[in-house]
Amino acid sequence: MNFSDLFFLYLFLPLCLIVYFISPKIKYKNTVLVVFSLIFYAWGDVKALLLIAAYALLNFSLGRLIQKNIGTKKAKLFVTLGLFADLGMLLVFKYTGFLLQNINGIFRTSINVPKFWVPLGLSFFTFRTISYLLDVYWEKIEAEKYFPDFLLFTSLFPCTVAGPIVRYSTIGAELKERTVNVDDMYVGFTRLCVGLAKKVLIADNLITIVSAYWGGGAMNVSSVDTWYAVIVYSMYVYFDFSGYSDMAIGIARILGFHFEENFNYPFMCTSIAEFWQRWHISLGSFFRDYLLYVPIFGKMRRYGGLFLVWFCTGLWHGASWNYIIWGLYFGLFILIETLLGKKRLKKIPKAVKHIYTKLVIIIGFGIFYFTDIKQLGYFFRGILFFSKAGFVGDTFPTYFVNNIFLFLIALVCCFPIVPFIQKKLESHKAAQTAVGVAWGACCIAMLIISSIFLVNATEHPFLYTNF
Amino acid sequence: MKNYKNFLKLFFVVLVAGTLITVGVYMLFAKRPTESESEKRKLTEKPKISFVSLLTGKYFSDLQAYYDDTVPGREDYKEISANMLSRMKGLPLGGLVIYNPVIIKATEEPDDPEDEGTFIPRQITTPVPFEDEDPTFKPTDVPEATDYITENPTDAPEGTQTPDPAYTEPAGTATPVPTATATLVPSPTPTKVPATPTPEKTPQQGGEPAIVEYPKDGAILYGDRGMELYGGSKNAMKRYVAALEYIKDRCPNVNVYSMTVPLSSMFYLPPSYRSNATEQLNDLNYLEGLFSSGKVKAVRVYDTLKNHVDAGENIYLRTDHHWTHLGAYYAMKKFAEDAGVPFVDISEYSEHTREGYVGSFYSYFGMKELKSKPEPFTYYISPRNVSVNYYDAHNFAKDKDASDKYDAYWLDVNTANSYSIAMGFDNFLTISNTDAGTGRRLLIIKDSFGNPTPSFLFGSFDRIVMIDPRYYTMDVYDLIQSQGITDVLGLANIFDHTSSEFVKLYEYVAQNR
Repeated sequence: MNFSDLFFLYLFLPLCLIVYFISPKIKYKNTVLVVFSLIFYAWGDVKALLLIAAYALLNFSLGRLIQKNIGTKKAKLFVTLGLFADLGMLLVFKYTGFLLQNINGIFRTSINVPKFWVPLGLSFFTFRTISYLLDVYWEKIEAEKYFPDFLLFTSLFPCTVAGPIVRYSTIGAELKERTVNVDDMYVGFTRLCVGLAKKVLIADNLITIVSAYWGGGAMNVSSVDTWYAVIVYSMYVYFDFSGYSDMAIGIARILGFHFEENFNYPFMCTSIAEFWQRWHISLGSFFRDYLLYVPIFGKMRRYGGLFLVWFCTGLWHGASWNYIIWGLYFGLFILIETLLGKKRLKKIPKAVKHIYTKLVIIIGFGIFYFTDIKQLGYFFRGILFFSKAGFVGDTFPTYFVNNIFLFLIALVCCFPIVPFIQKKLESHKAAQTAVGVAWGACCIAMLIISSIFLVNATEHPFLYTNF
Repeated sequence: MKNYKNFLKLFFVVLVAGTLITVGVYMLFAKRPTESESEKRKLTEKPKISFVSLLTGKYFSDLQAYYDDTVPGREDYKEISANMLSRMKGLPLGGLVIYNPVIIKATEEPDDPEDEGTFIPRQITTPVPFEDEDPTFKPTDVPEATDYITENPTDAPEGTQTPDPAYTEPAGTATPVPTATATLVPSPTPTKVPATPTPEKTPQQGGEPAIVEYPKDGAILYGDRGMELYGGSKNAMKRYVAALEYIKDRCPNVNVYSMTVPLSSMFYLPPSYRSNATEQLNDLNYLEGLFSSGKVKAVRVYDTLKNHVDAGENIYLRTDHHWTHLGAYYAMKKFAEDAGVPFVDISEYSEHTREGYVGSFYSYFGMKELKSKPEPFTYYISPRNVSVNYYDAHNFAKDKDASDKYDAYWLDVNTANSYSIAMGFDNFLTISNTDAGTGRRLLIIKDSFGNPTPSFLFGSFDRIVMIDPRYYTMDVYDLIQSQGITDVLGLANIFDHTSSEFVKLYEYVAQNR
């Protein structure tokens, strides 16, 4: 079940909200959410339900044991056990096939590579539980005492499948007590509408352009077409993922949970480091807090940590070399920026910095797209104007003009132009009401139009549900 | 002021929540459609609950598919969204809009031998029980039936989704349809290898990996005419020729012909896109040139069709990717000349026209502009007596017996399916028995462009058998033997004869132990 399914929007969600809001106490509300969350999960992957429940129980128990033995070697043992269990699950289900393929490739062996079933939302689930165990171990939080609440933390449906990676420290208190006021509901519903529109009206249409060019591979795509496709793809990933995050944050807000932001107009960045402070913030902050300073590189800790973070960032996205290259590619630019230093970077004109960052990011998304290394090679030929298909394809002018509005709308929405206009107008008291009403009307229009589009839509699951 | 703002927020919340709940209740209780006229298909059915389906989660996904596919009023909403989408996306350039709903996977470099332009025979199973087999008909020099008896039948994969028979797929979207009655057994060391299954080597087959072109874009709308843009593979062409030549090798006394039909884009593309038409013509010439050994005779219909297009005749449909029945008539006339059989002139046919036809460019490619620009659909009823047996090529059940010539046509199909009036839909295996009295029997191996063609050959061949490689999974040599075939015609549009996906199906048909 996707957030952008009619089934979810007009059956699951209303039913969940009705039952949730008529439930009198927080205890019942939580029970309702656990039940709906498990149904939501089972809908996508019924097989994994027991596994997820068992792992939730394991992490809950380990959390309690860590708490009980805090400051002792036992706590270290339990946290290590938990990390092994969580990372082991991730490794077994997500990376065994990749590992075996590489062993076969390197050592010329012929080990059978079975097709592994990957439980839905596994990477997000694992990272949530890892952050929980480490936070308990580092005494940042107290371990949860009540299993149903812990189960709710691990399975809460707005963030089960594609994040954000919500930490216990963010919602632990709200698991026990939360209130929902009109502001929460208003923000929640507007985020829901905006996220849906980002996904259905923009992302799903952008990806058809990308597929038209790259659906059959990158070899016969001209250089200009390649540039166009990769720019469109970059915007697609942004709208698809940030749309999902908006909906997740919005739904959670309606239910009284305050998730942290996962995107903050990433294309506004003037450095690659800044890009990662604005893009998939929950993942970046996870690696920063839990991996960057892992003391395994001795004196080379600074650079070793950097390498590890970006290697893992790439690998987290998928069991394929292109993702690892993608992660290390960003790591390389961050290293260069680190070596240059903030002072030198500040001296570079802003326009140059914008061009540099956008080029790096956009080419990065090309690496992200092509899991086949041969295709990635063709992509680079295109980008570097060595495409076999020449400089520009015959159909490019027509196709570009045929999609010009969509392209421009997407481009504008990548930047905080709407909030800027809103802010400007809201400074005039007279305009405040008008802006509020207009924005509300816009959101309702986005909901209705997106729903109509969904009737005619081919199923486009959210990209990040793959991770 | 704050209260006023809060009231507005509350109003908004009530409105959105109310919308979700009201629409949700409506969708739960309103009558759901079961068919889509615009898409020419039955909509997803409500799943039946079972312990297994619940346990595996299949019930949930099926229920959701049913819910999402059968939205009350879906046809209206589809039209609204198509309208909005075309306005939202951009503008036509020089009257042109490119549509690209079909993503065609390219085989770029020959990782597997099938893509190297060579033909490797494989094993195929299953005899065909035809009720009307003619035991008295014995064409000379047809190989003995025992040559075709196969071994080692195994089970084919189950649960393969079959395309809707009421839908003829646009070019370049060929889908192999394995069925429970046939098996493909890859045979790395075939016991019998055809003597000369491959065409002459070209420079591309030298050391370098061959370049395979493929269609990047789906279709374009130019004015009120939809067209598919062409892209083909030279390797696929070679494989197609090799497959037909292999049939000829197996049945040396059967005449084998090939007819490749140009797409409408060959004739109607605007000047800015002429390069695509030129590429199409070059590839057509190349393909027809591959038959230079003379084993298989290429029937060139390009010039014939061009003359009639230039004369302003309606040879291709505007709103559909097929040719008109008139176009098929002219092509069959050319074929009859080349095959040396008599041919019934169109003046002897009764001509009928249906108004309001809108074809696949609307229903499949989503060219919403064409909904308001329907075209007349003209079809022709043959003067000859004919009886036709329609088999479902998927399960080989007899679908329809038409002893009367009017029964032979599908006159009761709705307007959107008018193309299928003559000889029905893609998935049929048809056997037409005529009173032509020429002693010739024809097998047509075709894509959807071939569907109406037998209806113009009722005066030319005593029996016309027609199969579609996308659905036919039996031994073609059994069919040739049992039906006493004297002539074989491979007929498809140029997209399919140059697409490795479709040609692979031809190979499946042609392959033998």
